[in-house]
Amino acid sequence: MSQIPGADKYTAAVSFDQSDVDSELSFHDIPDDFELDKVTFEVLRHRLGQINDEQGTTLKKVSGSPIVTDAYDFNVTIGDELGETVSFGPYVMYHASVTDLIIKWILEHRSPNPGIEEGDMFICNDPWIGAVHQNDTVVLAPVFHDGEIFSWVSSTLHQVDVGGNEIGSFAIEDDDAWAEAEPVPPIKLVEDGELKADIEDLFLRKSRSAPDVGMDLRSQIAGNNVAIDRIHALIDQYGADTVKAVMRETMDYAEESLRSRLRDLPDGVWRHVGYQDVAKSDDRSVYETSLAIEKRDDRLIFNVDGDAPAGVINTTYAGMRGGLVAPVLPMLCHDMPWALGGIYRAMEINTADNIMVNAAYPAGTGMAAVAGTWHTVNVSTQCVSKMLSASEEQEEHLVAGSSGSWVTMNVLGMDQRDEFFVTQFMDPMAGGWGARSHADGINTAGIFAAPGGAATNVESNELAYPMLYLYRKEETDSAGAGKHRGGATASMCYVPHDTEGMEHLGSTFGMAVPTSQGINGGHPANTARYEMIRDSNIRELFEDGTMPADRSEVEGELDVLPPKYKTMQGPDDVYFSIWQGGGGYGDPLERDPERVAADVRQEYVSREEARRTYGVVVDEDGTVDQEATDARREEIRSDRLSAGMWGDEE
Amino acid sequence: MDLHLAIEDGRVVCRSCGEDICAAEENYKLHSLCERKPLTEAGALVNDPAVYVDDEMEFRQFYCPGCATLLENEVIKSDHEPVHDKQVFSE
Repeated sequence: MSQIPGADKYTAAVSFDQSDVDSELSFHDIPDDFELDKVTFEVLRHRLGQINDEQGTTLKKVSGSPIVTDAYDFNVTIGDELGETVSFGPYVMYHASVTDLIIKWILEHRSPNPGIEEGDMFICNDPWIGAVHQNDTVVLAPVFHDGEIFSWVSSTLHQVDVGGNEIGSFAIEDDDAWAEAEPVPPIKLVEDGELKADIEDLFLRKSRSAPDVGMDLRSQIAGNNVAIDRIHALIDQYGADTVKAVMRETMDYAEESLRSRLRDLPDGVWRHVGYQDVAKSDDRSVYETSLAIEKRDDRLIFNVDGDAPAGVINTTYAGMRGGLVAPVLPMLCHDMPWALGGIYRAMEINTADNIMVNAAYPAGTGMAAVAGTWHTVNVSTQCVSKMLSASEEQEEHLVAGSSGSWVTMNVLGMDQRDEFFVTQFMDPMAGGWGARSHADGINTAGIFAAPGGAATNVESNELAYPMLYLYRKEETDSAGAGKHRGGATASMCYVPHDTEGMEHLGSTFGMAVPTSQGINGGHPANTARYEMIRDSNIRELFEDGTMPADRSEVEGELDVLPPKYKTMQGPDDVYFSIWQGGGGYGDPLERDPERVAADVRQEYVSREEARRTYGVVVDEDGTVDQEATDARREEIRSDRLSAGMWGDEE
Repeated sequence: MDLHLAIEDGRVVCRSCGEDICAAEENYKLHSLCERKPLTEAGALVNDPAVYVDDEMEFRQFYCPGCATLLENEVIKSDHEPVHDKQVFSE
């Protein structure tokens, strides 16, 4: 409930009643006794996936934004006549996990006026209705067949700037939505197949990067058009009832497969407390969310509580639900269709009102995807992983905390062509994944909730923007220690090139508190960090023919930037950031010393960390000193046994 | 229950040494050895939180009292009780 009069209308349609839909609108349905053969089911459910794939490829081809074309920060969905998600692409998961809520809101509120007709598309970036945050703009289209709504398709992508007080629409100095890009509830962007110029202008006018947003909108429309055409072709070939039966069966299959998996796991409760640090610029606090996942028979019950909304780090119900389900998909549903319309049926969410991860209007949610929602992914990951660890049959599918925060770097200025630019660097897509029960985490694997994401090429950034990379590289000691260590992460370091400098806005968490947690004794990964080396000697180094391989080789005034900052980068200021790796699994003392030594030789682990945390002494030539290792590990065990019980010191 | 702990006859026991830790419904962390350390002890690239926030945070490590196996870690506010993170219902 919001305290703002009239705001509650703009609330996600969690409890949808089809009788609220205008009676003039009709929906395609199939007879209860319709029979679908299993071969057709398998062929057509994969065909729907292919349509999704083509929808996503179309979007990528049309958008000119590197956020989309290079880093794949988007997703596409196909849903049934009520918007229940049947299929989505392998990109950012929580883009896809909200569209059912928006579609139901459209059905309820737009069917009487202005109506929902064939050839319409609605645009929405209202987080309270369902968009994860304002940048993640959703374009949704009904698919009609014989005058009835047969299906829905949607395309979502991160638009680089949709207005508001700050670069990239991340209002880090403010407390609420009034300072952010205005949330747009579903409105018709396309009517009878025609892009509505007035609505497009409404969107472009408020952006610092209108040409990019214009292309993004066209890419979303194009993706939807391709999906609509292909669904019509599928209906022509197989018949509407058959295609719809496949949609139904796909969701039923996903639901039953998940329930079956849950029945194989022991009943219990798994809990985690997680944090975001710093709610806005100049803030110095951490904010907590507690999650308990209770597994009873074939159901997962999520109980969510935590601190009240603060600053700009919040998310709404839609973003929270997307964050909760994101780890469920790869860890529990890896071998079944990710048909969320079925998967959600096995999940129940109980949440406190108006907390950081279920914030009421007008809390600041403009960064939700990389704040409250991401944070929700982290706490859910811990609970799901620990639940899987309770089953010897299922533990191989757990993954410890992965790439625990998004290190946002929004910049603007004049580029090397003397033209205005604004962008967000997508290098942190190369985060490290958590360790597994049987193997190390994957180094610089990506983002756990975005399996299809990719880090922008260094060369693409240098071509598009006035920057020269000193390096982007994997970082020693960034992986969480453990019997199986986490995946290492990377850092980037660059200097402005052929420009007077640029304006920066940074925003992240996981800087004061590591948020890629390990499990079963695995250590967390590194923390994130922003630095600027002011008035550096980089030009002198270049003149000497030196390209630094590490920022420690650059001299200048070190400016350690906070988790939420705005600053200018001068032409000789060297910028550095590091994002998070993956958490470890198991006691580091149980890691094979030879594997530790191999990590030292490959510079994933320093010699000092090998000795301190793993208890492995590695000689200068990179081999294990077994005698010294045995002694060091015994010393660590002895130290552990001298510790007291919790509360002893009191 | 997890990699290190099992539930046997309604009790949480260490898989490595058989140490009887507590009843299945209890929080095993309250019956384990515990070290409370600065966050920076969690890893070489873990920042000092005092640079960024005023809250007191800590890195906790819980060990089996019998064999010193590292059962679990916590990254948590210093005034927060240990989280009962794993509770498997025993029939």
